[in-house]
Amino acid sequence: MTFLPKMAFKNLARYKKRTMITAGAIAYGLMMFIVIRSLLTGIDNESETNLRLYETATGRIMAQGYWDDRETFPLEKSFDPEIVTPILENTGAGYSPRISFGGDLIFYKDPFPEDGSIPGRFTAIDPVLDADVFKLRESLSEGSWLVDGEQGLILGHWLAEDIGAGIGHTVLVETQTKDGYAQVFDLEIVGIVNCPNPEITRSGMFLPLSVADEFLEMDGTVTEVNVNFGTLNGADADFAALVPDVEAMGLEALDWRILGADFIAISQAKAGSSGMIIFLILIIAGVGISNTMLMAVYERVRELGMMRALGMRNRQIRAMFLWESAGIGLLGGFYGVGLGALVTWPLVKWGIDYTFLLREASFGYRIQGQMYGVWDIPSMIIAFFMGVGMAVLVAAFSTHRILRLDIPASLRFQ
Amino acid sequence: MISVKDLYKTYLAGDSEVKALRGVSLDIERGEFISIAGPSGSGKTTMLNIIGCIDSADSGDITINGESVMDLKKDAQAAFRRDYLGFVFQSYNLIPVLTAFENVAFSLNLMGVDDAEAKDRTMAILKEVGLEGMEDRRPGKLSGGQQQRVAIARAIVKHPEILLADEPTANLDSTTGNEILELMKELNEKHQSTFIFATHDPMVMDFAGRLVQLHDGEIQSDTRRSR
Repeated sequence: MTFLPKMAFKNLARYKKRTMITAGAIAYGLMMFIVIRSLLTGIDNESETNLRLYETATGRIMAQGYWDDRETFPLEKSFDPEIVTPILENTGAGYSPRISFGGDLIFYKDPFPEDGSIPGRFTAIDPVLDADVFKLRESLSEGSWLVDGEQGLILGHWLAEDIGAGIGHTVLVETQTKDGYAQVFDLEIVGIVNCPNPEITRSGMFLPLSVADEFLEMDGTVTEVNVNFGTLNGADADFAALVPDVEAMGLEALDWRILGADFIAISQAKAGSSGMIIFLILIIAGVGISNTMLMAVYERVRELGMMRALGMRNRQIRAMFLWESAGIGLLGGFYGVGLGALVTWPLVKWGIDYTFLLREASFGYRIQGQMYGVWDIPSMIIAFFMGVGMAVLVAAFSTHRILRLDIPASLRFQ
Repeated sequence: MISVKDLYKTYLAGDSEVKALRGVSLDIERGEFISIAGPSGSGKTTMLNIIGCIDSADSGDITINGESVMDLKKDAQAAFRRDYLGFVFQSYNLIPVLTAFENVAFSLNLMGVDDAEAKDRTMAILKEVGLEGMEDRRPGKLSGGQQQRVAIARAIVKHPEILLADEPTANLDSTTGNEILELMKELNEKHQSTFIFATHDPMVMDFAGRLVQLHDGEIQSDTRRSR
């Protein structure tokens, strides 16, 4: 019966203003959904990449129990990296031995603006091997890279700014050796890194592995060996294949998801917030269209009564309203996806600068400076069908209410 | 052809009961032009609605062509109204988004009549009711009398056995009302449909071949006349 869709279309045209307002409400909701999903997916993807490129690599090999006690920097839980080198070389993976230790960075007025000290985590890296795993060297914004055996220090850009550090300034590091003895040694700031991972930029302190080995009396042992299988699909599986061999050596191998648990938690919370966004959008679209549909239906109670008196069945009336609402939903869907794409485009191309926000506080995301959106096509498709589905659902509810009136009551309705 | 037997209907108006019909019985022959008259609240519209299967009675029976229509299910009632009944309302109740042509064709669309036949029948009936050349006008562009003509055309185009009209002249001036009644009488004679009016308009009562007077839900008088 083509006359039902025809009537529905005529009704949409009859209430042009209302149709446009309702479609506009749906479109706004869908646009917000698309834009927010685009940004959150963009942040997620970039954070994941930056986490792996600057902090965790694909995974990390440590002594048993080290990860559980990592907050106390247990240097005694170290191991000889040579024992894992053969299997890592067999796999073709990049690897980087490191020593992580806690201590105070001490600096004095002149050349620093003020005397002071900062507690933090120092990371000793192999200046050559580290580049096979992490992108730190490529993020050097000032000075030069570390040289094996030289007492150099590289700082994160924000940290350097905060304490007024510059290239050539000397600092003291106060810490403990592997055996628990107090140790103080000096380092010269040779470089500053400004990388896309805010954790590094905010608090990164890097020195050569050989220097740490000497002052911490590590005897060639390290606290971790980071392994890089790249960021492409299959990297996780390659690392997982390595785990049994590593565990057979009495060591522990954890992948980036465990190492970046704080980010993963944020990411999962984001999934929850996405659900909340969807819910809010459903509410916006639902309220908008239910208001319109109820008005449309109540305005036409007598007309519907007449149609029923003439022999139109309830299901035909429902179908007519569903066509109408689907029309509004389609209109809203098209506008919403179009607007969403329009707003997403500059976000993908230029992003949003929110350095001011992340500099002062960490939200777990591993991005800084620009927040970029991505073209999230599945979200756009979901949004489109969500708009149409919502419109139809609400119309079904509104029509059901009106069809509960008997025909004489409908004909008398004022 | 239409047999109304012992019809009772009580409404609830707020907390009080209104006895709209109290044991009404009536036989109506095919092709009659009958007016059910009475003051407001006498039960005439209720009776019309029950005959038209858009309202139900508490008890009693209505048979049309020997078949009871009281126990029909909703869909069957809708189909019955669609195929056998025509309605004309006091306030025309045309669909504002449709043209005069489309309003009339609406009845045929519901019946599933094919487009070509629907077009021929619609054009013919519009000509018959004097609306030739106004097919493309929407209700808003028609006078009250013209709108009622469209409503009558919509009711009669499907050749209903029974045409039910509730106060069809109430919103019209006396000249236009008279024209409408003349038209309906003419269609009644031509199509042999049974016309049943609910009215309190003396002009309609004068026009009817049979006048049934209701008072407080009971038939007060039932007189057949010739005009």
